[in-house]
Amino acid sequence: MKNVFRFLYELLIGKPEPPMETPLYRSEIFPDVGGVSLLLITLVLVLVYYYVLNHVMRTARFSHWYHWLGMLLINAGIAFGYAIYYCRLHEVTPDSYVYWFAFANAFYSALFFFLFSLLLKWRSYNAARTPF
Amino acid sequence: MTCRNLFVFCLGILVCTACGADSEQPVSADAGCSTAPAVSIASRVDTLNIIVETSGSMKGFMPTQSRQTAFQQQVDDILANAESNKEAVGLLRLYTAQDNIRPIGYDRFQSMLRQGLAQAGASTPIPNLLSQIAGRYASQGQVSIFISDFIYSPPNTRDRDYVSNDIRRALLPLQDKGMVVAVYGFQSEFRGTFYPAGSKASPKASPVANCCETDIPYYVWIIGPEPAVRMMAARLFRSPVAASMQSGYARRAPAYGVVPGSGRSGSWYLAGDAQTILIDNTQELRQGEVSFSVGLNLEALPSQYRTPDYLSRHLQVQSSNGTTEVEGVWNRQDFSEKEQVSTKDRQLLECYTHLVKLKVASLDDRNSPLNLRLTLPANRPQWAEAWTTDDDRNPNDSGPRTFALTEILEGVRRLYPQEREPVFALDLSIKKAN
Repeated sequence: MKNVFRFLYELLIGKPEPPMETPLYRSEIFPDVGGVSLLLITLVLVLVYYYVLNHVMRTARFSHWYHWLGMLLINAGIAFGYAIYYCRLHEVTPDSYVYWFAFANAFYSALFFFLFSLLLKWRSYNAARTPF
Repeated sequence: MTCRNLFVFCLGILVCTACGADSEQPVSADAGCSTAPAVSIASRVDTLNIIVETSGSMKGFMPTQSRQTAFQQQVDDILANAESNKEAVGLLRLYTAQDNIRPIGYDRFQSMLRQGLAQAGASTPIPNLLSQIAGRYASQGQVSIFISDFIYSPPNTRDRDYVSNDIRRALLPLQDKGMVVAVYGFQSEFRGTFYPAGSKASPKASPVANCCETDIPYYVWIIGPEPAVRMMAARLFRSPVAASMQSGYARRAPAYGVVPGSGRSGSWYLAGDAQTILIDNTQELRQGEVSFSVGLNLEALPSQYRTPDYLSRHLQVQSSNGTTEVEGVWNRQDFSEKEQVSTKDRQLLECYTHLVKLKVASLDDRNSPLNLRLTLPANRPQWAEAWTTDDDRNPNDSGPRTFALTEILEGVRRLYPQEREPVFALDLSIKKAN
């Protein structure tokens, strides 16, 4: 799993900078931030969107594509903030790489949100056809 | 209302995940210094002997009719420091050394030192005195301080070709007793008749009257068990003495480690330990793009091996599977000024006294590790070359130099087998990351 996240992030933003932080990114930050924000938070938000807002509550006010997009952007925002927060928590040497990593995390969280949506939307009462 | 709920919900998730992250094991930035073998320093010596040579050649350091010399001030300083450390020195004994070592009362010693040396002895054979000190004034619980100009003029002129061996023979009892010798060199004004040893080519040398316009060196030798010598040296000299040499100290491998973020180039990073470097792209090694700095804690080493000058002249790096060069050696402060220091390394740098920057010049097989060994050979101290001469007949021309000093020091060094071994040999390796 560590290698999967390492592959994903380094594919977009290259090797960690400064290089001294490589072990910290590869063994701690990539898997932790990836696991929590890409998988866990994204999954929870997808479930909230399809099965709380558009299933349990049945208000029908959130079934449009732009509601879905709003959720996706909120998820990306959380992913961005969480990546920076986690890097600071681990006292990573300040570098623009932290922000590139946060962008990459936001991008992948949006991608995962889209994939989870395709996988999970079909049993939603109101939004089985959102975004399409 | 629902929108607000959603917002609160999202915020809740963020807070929860943040809490989750908090409870995780934090990555230790650096868990303190790696432990170096402890150096034992005695807290007390039973007896401290201060022995001042009072041959004719010493009179110029303690003139009767001139202003105070640096020698008088320095020796008085040593005496005062010894007296003021009552808890560290049990019994203080004073001696003069001419042909033999004789005890002298405190008042007479003080007046000899301050008023000048009225009655000087004839020329003194140094090995003879050293042999007496090594035999009678060196034992556990006892430290001897011998102060002399170390001008070695044996009665038999051919003996001067055997200076080194004579000194070694004289000190031989120290080896059996496990005693060490610490030599500290000083220079002082000299007002009087200078008795040169001569030169190797022409042993006949006549005394130089009304000498000297230049300073003349003299030496303070501290002889005793290592912990006690370390303690006395720290207490007797107020500041570190530049011209110094300690022989016989037990060898201790210094603590060392690669500094992860300072004085470096290339994309390498450290494996779990600070002795192994990992690199993703070995091409960088081949192209000479990789350099790194190794921190060394040389605090316990004899002082002659600790000077950046000695280290940069003698420190060697041997590598298998490639070539590596030493780019420079600095003490910690100079390194911090010269190289860009990562804020994360600041605490780590406190663990080290010196830093060595190494550069990988080439790599042979990219799939095999590059193993490095950093060694420091034990050579004569750097300062000795500037303080020695083969001809001391004209001190005003030759400057503050002592006849055959390098041979005298060599005799001391050869007494101890460990002085033939490298001071340290430290291993490092660079590997391709998986």
